[in-house]
Amino acid sequence: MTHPRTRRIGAARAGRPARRILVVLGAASVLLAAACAPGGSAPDAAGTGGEISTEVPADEQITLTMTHFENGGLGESIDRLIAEYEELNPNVSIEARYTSFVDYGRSIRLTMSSDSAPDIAQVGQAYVMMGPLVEAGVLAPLDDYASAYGWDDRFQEGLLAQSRFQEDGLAFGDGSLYGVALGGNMVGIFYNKALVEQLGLEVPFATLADFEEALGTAQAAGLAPLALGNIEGWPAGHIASSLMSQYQTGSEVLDWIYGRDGATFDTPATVEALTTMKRWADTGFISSAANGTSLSDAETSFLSGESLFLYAGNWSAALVDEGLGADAGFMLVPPAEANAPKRATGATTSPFGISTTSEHPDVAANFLDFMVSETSIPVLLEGGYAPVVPGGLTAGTDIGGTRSAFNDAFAEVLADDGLTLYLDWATVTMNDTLFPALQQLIGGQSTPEDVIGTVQADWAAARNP
Amino acid sequence: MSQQPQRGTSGVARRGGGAGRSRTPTVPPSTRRRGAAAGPRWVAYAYLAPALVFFVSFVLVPLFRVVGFSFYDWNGIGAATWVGFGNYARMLANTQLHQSLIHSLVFIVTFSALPVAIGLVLAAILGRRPIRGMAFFRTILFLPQVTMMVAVGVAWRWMYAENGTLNQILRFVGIESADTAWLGSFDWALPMVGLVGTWVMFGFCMLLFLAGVGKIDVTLYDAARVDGAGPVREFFTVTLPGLRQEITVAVIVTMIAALRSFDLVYVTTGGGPGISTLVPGFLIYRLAFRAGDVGAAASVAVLLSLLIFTVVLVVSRLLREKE
Repeated sequence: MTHPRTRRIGAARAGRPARRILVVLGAASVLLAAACAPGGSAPDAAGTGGEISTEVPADEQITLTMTHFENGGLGESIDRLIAEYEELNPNVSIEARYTSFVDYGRSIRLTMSSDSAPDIAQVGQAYVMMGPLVEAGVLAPLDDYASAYGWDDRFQEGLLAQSRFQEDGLAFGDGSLYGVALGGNMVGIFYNKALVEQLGLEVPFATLADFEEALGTAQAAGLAPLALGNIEGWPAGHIASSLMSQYQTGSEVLDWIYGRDGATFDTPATVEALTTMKRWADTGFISSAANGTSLSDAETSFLSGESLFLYAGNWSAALVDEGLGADAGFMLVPPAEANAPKRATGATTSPFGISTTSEHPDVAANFLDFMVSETSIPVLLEGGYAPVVPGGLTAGTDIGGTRSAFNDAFAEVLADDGLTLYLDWATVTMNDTLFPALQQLIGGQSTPEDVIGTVQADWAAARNP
Repeated sequence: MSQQPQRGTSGVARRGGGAGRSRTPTVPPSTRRRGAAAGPRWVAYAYLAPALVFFVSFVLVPLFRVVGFSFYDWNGIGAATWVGFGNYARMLANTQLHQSLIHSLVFIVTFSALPVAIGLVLAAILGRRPIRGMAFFRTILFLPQVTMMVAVGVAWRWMYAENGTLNQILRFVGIESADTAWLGSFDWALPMVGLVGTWVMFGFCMLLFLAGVGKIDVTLYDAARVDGAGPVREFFTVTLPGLRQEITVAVIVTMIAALRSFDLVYVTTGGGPGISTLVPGFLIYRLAFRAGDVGAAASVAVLLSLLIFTVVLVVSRLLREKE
């Protein structure tokens, strides 16, 4: 028998682990409880019931907050527009906050659902940004402002449709309007004028067949026909989508992206587009190294005269102008049949929307209207925008370089309402489905039918979860 | 005696015992030492508090939150739906997760097995006798370990390009046709990304082993030499057994790095071409930040943590010194 005191100490020691476990379990359950049910309840949607006004009250000091991810010239345009607006409305001040695109995408959901949500935010299109925000009820419908300010008449319906969303956030392309955009972007073909002349080619090409023939001519002359840096995957997506847009009408592409009933990726046009792409890869028009080449390396290859064409959008225009100067040219992806309506892969820039928690939605809308009005065209052009406001593209004929050529081409496409958006907008996972599938296609690992099967399965799964 | 009364009286008993410990010599020495070192309990916790607060708020809370997320269908905003183990079931059936785990096995070879082997060879060579400029070599060979992974990834992306350093070297040594864009090749991208891991990790292993070699009793080497052992024999009979602990640490650290790798893949290939370099860490990122499937991402994160935990446990068991 041990000493009584020792036994009691022993008892105390025996009790300690049990207590410790209790404490840990208690703490864990508290933490688990805290972990439960992520996300908040949707804020009460302001709805469209209230009366709206296009007047800015002049008798009170108003501060709007705004968050966006435009840097460089585009960011400067926004800063200048804010300054001009504040000059017009001395009692309004707008505090803009810039966040880099990558961080912006990660944080926008939290930002917009927080208590200190900004009045105005850049909200993207489709399911990555706008969809969840609409579903969470943190974006105000802008339909009343659209009719009050006449945005419906100002923009082609195709430009507004991409910012429309169903209230449940599950389908877009129609429904309420949740944003307006300042400019547009579009994929086309940059070419080297000196090389084009040297090879005796005539641009722009009347049809895709002519373009393909030119690729062969370039190859025979020892040039890399098409510079493609596809390590990121999305550049090949632009080739696929713009070819698809030539082989079928724009609405067929759009129906699929908007997820409308009965739409399918498995169309003869898609087969033809992907078969063309595969042929270009097989014949070496697209380098076998494309999947392991960075975008900037491909651009360098084009700028140094090793490649005849660069398949890219207006985001590359400044770089191309700087590198090739007067030798730089830009054209639309040619249609499958000559003189067909102009269609191209492209969209508006990321639109601006208004928070449901904004205390001054009328003023915010007034500022949005100011940004997309005719008066802001010079500022937008100077910053590098391709303004989608009517007259915006033809106003700046003296901006020079491929940007002038781009704006002319873009105006033609807008006139035909021929922007066919980006394929990866179709579902929230489409970029991670489509781009690897296209890498496999041009890497000789799969057939057009394989790609179509994979892509359509993703599309169908998103509609029937 | 039964457990019940003990638990019931433990509070009282501890206080009584505490008072007794300082006065009564009959308390067994081990208990007394423990009591004397502890002092009033809150003092110990006060010392722990700052670190504990950080640990709890930045490690434990996020950890439990992730576990919590994994039971919900949640897009990162708005309302979440309880789905139980639904995310786990869905992800365990996901072929991309299977693929990425297979890729992790390749990474275990290149991040762990190769660096440990290279580290051992280097340590055996460098550790045998003093070498002039040793500190310099050690620093150079350790540099990859301290360089930021993003910078490492960008640099290697250039070297693996169509006209990158690797192909230039290959052409220089006579392979004229070397024009593979290594990171774009469905066969080569994964091992090539993995080899970057080898390059990053071997310096760490070598340094660890060099320190370990210095700890080995030199008389063991003398004895081996007297018995006629050459450098190879010496390595297997003296160096290798003497480094058992260091090897355990190296294997565990490098295996964790292999399994949780994300940044290298993110910078070099983004999982491509196709999904040939997709790893679980990158899959988690894709699910959470691109697909907005936070629940599924959390469930993969939990599974990956459990996997790493298991691997560490198994490795440390296997390599444990036999007593």
